[in-house]
Amino acid sequence: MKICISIASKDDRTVDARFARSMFWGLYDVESEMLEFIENEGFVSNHGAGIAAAHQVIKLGADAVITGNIGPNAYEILEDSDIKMYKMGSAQLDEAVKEFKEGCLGEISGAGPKHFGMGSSK
Amino acid sequence: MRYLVPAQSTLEWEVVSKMIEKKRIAVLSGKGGSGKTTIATNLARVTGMPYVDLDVEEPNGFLFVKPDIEDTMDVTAFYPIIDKDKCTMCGKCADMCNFNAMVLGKKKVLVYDKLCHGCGVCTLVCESDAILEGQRSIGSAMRGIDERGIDAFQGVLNVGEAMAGPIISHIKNKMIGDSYVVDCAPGCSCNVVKALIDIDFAVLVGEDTQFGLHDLILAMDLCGKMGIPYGVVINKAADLSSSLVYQYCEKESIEVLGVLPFSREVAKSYSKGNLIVKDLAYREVFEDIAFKIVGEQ
Repeated sequence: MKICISIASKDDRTVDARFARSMFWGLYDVESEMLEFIENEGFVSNHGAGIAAAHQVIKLGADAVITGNIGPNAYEILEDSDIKMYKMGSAQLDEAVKEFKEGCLGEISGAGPKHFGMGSSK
Repeated sequence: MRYLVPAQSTLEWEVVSKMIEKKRIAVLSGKGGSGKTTIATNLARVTGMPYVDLDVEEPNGFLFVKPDIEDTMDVTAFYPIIDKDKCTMCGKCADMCNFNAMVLGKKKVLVYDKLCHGCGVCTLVCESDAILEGQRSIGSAMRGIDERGIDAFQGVLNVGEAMAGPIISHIKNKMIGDSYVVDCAPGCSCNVVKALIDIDFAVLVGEDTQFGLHDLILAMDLCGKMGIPYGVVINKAADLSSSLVYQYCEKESIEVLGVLPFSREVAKSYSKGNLIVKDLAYREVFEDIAFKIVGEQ
């Protein structure tokens, strides 16, 4: 099973709340315990970032994502493809993985606002 | 020889008999709110040329021109319709789409119409003939006539749509002749570029502020890149000795077509939906602008 975690940088590995506009994915394989960093295609999209990001998650073969907010377009795609969506507050990637394995993470039950990852939403 | 019939008085609204021949004029500014519609509607009025509102996301010129609408045409845009019986879920269409408008989900291809730019690449790469060419309504194009019987046009993009291009192209290619005043959208991106295609002369409205000047320079850059000659109208102007836009134009040897000083009276007249060439003594200013444009060839 593979999980895709949205992160801001490979160095500090903090989970990024913005699904489509995070810079990287941490792709974690639960069985092999291997972690791979991949550039998020949504980050570089002018339009349709959520679509590009969700599409990439499908192509990477992920079964679940861990992030903060998912916009309406991405949410629709992930739900249609039966990919589970989990919410993580600000935390490190390792902690997110640990909590996922323990089954403590809450599921994202609906789409958040669109364009959440743009502008100064900090 | 072209000339304009001088106004007898500001209360008599004569039709200006000689239109500037074969002159496609566009009014743009860079910065929003700088006075494009004011300049465009009043310039059209004074010259008797048709007014064309190509700020299709927020057209407002008709508030001043007040035409009786005679024709309204639905404008449609292409979008792909997937035939699920023929679709093999190969995903080629989604991979080739440059605009993220298609995604291969687990069960079907998902299409995001509003991102579709109508390039048609998906239909070319599909090997199962599973993509049909749909057309969906994105807005409308209208033609009306004003109280003098002169045409006016506007495009209206439906709320929520992202793609204004097809409406702008429809109006330019199918509805207007080759003599008009186009009121562009604010900014310098796609909507403005599309409106500027085949324009003979651009009137750049420079709001006399730092932001106004900054964006005016971007607009000049755009016209330069598109090879369109231009002149500047300084709007809401300070005294020329302290006018940022005037001093910039002097320094760069850019032609100033006219100056409209900052005026509360103009703002009041405008807020009532009046054309300032009818309501106030601004006819001459606009006639001078028109003369200067005609001289530019």
